[in-house]
Amino acid sequence: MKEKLIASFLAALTMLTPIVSAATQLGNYPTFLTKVGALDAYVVVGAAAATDDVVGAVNLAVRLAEVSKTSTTVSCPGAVAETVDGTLKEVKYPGAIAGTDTTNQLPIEVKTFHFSGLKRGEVSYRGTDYSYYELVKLDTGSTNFGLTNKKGAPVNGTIRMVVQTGKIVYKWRLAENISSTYWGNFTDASPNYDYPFKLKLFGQEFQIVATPAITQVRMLSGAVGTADPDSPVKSGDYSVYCTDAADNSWASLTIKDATGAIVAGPQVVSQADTWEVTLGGTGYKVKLLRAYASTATAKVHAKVAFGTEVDKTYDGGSESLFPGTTDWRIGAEITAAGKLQLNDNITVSYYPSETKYLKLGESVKAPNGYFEISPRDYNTDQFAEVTFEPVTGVTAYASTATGAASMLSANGLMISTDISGTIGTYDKLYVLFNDTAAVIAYYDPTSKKNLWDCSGCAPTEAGFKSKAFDLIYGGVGEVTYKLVIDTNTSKLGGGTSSSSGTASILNITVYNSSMLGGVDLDFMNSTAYAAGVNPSIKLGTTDATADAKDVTGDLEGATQDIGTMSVGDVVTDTGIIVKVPKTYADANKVILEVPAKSLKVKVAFGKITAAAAAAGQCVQETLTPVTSAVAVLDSEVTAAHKAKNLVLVGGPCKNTLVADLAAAGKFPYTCVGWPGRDFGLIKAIDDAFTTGEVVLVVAGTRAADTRVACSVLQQYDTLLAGQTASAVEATSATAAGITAV
Amino acid sequence: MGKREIKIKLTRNNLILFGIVIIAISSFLIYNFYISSLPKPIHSVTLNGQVINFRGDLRKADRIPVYPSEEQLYLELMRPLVQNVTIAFKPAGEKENPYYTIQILELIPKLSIAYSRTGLEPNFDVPPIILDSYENITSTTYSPIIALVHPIYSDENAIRVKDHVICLKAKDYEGFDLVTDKLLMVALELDLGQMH
Repeated sequence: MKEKLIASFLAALTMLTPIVSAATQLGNYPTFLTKVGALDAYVVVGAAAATDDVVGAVNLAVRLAEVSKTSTTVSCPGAVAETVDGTLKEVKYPGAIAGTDTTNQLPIEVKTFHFSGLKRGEVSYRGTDYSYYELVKLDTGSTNFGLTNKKGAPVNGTIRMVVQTGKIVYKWRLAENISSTYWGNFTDASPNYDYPFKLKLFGQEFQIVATPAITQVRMLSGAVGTADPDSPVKSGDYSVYCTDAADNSWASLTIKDATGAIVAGPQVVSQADTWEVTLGGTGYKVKLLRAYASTATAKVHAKVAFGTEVDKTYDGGSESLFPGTTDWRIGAEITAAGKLQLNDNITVSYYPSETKYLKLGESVKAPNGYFEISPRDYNTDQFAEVTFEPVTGVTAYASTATGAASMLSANGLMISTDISGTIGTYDKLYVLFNDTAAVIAYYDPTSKKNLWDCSGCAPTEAGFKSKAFDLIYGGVGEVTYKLVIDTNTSKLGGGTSSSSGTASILNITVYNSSMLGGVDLDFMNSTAYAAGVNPSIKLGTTDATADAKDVTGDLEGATQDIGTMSVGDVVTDTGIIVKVPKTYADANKVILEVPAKSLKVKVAFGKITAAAAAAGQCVQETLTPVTSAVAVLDSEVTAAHKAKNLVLVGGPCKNTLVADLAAAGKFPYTCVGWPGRDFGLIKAIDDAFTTGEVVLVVAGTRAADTRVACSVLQQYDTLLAGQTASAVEATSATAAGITAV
Repeated sequence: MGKREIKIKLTRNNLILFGIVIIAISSFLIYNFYISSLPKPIHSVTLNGQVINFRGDLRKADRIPVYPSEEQLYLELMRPLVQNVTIAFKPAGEKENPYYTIQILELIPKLSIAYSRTGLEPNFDVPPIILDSYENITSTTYSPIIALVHPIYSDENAIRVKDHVICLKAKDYEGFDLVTDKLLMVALELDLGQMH
């Protein structure tokens, strides 16, 4: 009998339901081999396999690979939100981003706990493991690393993340002393080329050969390896070969390009010397660390470091740039020169050419995408717009009663909002003037009339003096502002420095709940007061087309003339944003944005996955790794393996577990009893070794029969669908070729 | 009050027996201390919250040399240009072929995890290449070949990368597991320092 092995099983997983039937049905394949959506089985390979069976194993492996990734097509309900793998804090502004306020600030030292991309673990050096960890030190000074809304350029009252040079420092910290037996005293005069200390900065390998001073570290970088006449050390498209060498003395080196053409050399380089060569317009260096000839390989060898930078002392200065960057500098914080000890740090500091002022959404990115720090957005996207604009010809009534006293066709200021309930209990307010009186009115949506706010009162010549309203986003926001309207007269005249008449203004102030900060608006009559003439309202305190004090607001604790700032939305200290006017012009309209909560800025540290717009159908992929070492030889099987579901590849002649089942009467054929005909066999056996677990045997008489069994399993969704039997014989991968047994 | 003296009489045989017991206990304690101080083998890692198990000890696998460099190996496998990955092997006979099967079943599913993590989706070519010889195999940037070299054809445990062909060379069965695991460590960017 030529019993053959191998089969493949498919495992495109979906959400799975436990099988409760008495006997496993092949129609439920591959569900019965999985648990919680992941493969829960070992594949036991028999002790012998023809070449074709190994070929079949590739099929099997590829199908197993599909187990590791479940793809589901789903409707896209909307945009996918941005995600941050790391730490995200709502930081107050203006102020320091990092500090001890764990609620509102990033930690001063960001570690693995805060962002798993920062590693902690062990590095092996000469047979001993040494602990290390990575951290990022953030400066706590608000002007060094903070949020600002100051007036001056380039901030101009917008929110920016300010980053001064040297205020973000990545540190690779040694958590143990390196044994002095192996790391004695390695300085510039005696670098340790034989056993450099390997570490990864931002995931990129370096090899420390010396610590010349407490602020210096000397490291190899680039590609470090051993070249011989056949095997090069590669850097990019270039390869260094060693064609000749003398032990511990010199090597003859040649550089080839990607096509194999020699582009430099042969060049004899003395040990410890560096060969500098320009390749494709770029400067490369080849440092010969050691030259030797091996009797074992009968070849010459050269241990070299090859790249644009190979052996360098880094001191945090302008020449100590991290490879491939222009603004990250490598340095060191070493306890004792020449040593590597507990709490010694290899540092990489952010050193932009000038102080950075990053807008919301921009990032400081570490090399190799190791992490980023970014002010993402405000802590709320709910803002109510409150608009202030002059109006004319407005009539307001004392009440809804017919014929009630009224103020006919007055001029004044309209204050409105796009979010109902924001201005007190009103959506629209008027401050109205005629030549004899002033009144505050509101729009009544029921009567569709403008009604006096002081019900039953009459407009007075003295005006209303002062009136305050709550300013709360939709009436439900978490933060309450006060809108205060002041005027000293009903006979609104010209501005204070105007030639147009009586000095009088209409003053609007928006405070926070502590009556601090906020925004101040002044309106005036652009013409002199005259009996019988309604005032003409304009923004400002003078008749000039653009007043420096049209709009003022508190920025970083100081009142500033926002009207002179010509960029963007100005964010005041209270969180009120001045959206309009944007330019220092003859504007009369002001729009403020009122946030729903006390305004902060979300600052992220870690890896940020951008939000994705969604449309139509999305493919959602779920990673469900094959968590076991899925393949074992039958000779390696233990009781622990038998406690799981098993796929036994091979029949009783080649797989001892199948032979055991046959001997126990759980499999129909022994080795000598295999039928003398050509067929593939797929059989599920319940409780074969462990109660509740399933064994699936896949075998064939010949290699061709094995292939048939493979094909049947590969097309399980059509060929085995609805199959209630627990075993089938297959002579072809068609419905007609499959027989339940 | 005078000091009291205690005299213990031991026969020569008892003294020898006592010494043997002391030496045995000391040896046992020293051995236990030595054993407990040895680094424990690592057979599994947690990657993004998922446990992934390996056949070999990753501490040993980490020491498998890669020529010319691990960076080159990573580049060959994981560069965005890779579209197809092909397995190649030279048949080793019915009794030895199962070791190819084992490595293939390890290699492809876990390499797929590495590709999933980086967003790459190359295909694994089916069928694989059956070799007569490992000499003069070459491929392209787009289609790297992973050539499995059975211990009967190799005298080293190493990974050699050349001309877009990645040779997993093992001189024994354990070495076969280790070179496979080493390739996966590089592809999955596993840092031994992270493993517990």
